[in-house]
Amino acid sequence: MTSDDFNKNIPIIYLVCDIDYYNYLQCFLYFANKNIDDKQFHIHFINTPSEKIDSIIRTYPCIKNTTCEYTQLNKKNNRTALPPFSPLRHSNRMFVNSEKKKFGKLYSEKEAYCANVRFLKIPGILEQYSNDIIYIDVDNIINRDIHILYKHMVEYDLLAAPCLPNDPRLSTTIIGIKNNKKTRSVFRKMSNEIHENILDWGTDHIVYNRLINTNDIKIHILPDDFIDEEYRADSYIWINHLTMYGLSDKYQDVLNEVHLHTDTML
Amino acid sequence: MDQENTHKLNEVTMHHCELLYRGELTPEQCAIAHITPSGRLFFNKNIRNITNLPWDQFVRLEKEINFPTQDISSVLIHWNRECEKLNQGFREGWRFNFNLYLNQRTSDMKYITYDMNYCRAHWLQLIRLYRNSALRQLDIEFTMALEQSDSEAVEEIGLIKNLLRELPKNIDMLQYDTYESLVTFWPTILLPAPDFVAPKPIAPPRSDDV
Repeated sequence: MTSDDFNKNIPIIYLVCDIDYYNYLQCFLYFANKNIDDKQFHIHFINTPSEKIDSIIRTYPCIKNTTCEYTQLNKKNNRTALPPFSPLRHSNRMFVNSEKKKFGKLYSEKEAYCANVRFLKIPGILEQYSNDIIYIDVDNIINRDIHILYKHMVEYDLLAAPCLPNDPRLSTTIIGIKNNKKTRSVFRKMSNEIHENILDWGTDHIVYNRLINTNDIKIHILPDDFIDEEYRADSYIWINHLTMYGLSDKYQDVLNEVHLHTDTML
Repeated sequence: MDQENTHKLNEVTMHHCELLYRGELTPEQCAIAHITPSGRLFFNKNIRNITNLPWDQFVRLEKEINFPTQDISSVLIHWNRECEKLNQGFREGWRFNFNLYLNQRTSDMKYITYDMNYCRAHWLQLIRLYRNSALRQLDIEFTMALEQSDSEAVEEIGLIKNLLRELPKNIDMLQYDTYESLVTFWPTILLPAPDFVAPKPIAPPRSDDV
């Protein structure tokens, strides 16, 4: 596959997925395929066997390009998150069922790496293609056509959603990036800084928020109801925070709906 | 108590006596605050059925009845306005605000303030209580992990327990120098915070363009 396979008139939806998230990727693509009319994907895989990658490409022809890296990552939960994140994973507002969460858990190097690596790859993708990019976490669900983002990208350098309603911090769960000189330079800087602490949970969020606010980037803040954790019918993207809080009851319901043999995913 | 502070207390008492005399305050809204040498405050709010004595004399008499042989100063204050919104959990840390000058008083200046040394120690003690409860919870999880021979969980829980044990000494309480900053602080490892922790103020919404 080459960059010629991409339609230059619409953004590329960029995803990152490691082998443990493969089933969530299937769920993501199922809904993205169903709910977005014009779409094309570039997926960066981590430690995923090539037969699995081939299989998903066959199922979803809208995947126009993939890359894959094979890296040894420690899966032991023995690391704390960087402040201001809680050192442990737990939430008082999610509907957590799968973890049967009691007190909370530490993070592993693997989880931190898989979260941070998205920013390492963005500069390369911006340089490889002339398209704008929309990054979305694969544990999210596309509930409505996100075509509205394509229009905003004409006017703005960056589309971002607040972490919580009225929160000045920007979420890294969805990022729309216009492909221009300014964004290429900022995301290159971001990538270099994140690379230094690639195994710390929270690095991506901290560096992204700092650099976005200290550079001359024209940002469009998506409305509070664009993404939500409550799975409202009118929101565009349902988010789940799978790594941080585990599988939510509502996300589990969605998985059941698409019959993805959810018992094998935990 | 030194002369200047005694004078301030008298001034405040006289000020409130005048308000009572003019009918701008009622006895139900007032309280007499007795100040011990260590600064602690004891309140007498039950001053409705007052004698015919002038107010300032009543305050003196009240002090003589309750603390006849001790060096206890007293002051009449507007209880409703001064104390109702104070945090009852820090009641032992309430202090009379001797930095206040009646003639320069603005509407946001309070007669009663918090002794931050007391409040910090008290808050840290609360954190310890919650930390201990978390450790007890983890002990149960630790035992369960041992029973299941889950060595990874045992290791992880051990690490978390260490973090919790080290928690009090890793907190720099001195950085919380105001009541507001103190009561919004709660260690992230103990989140979710209990209800008595004040929510952090939300920053104003961003404009679309930065």
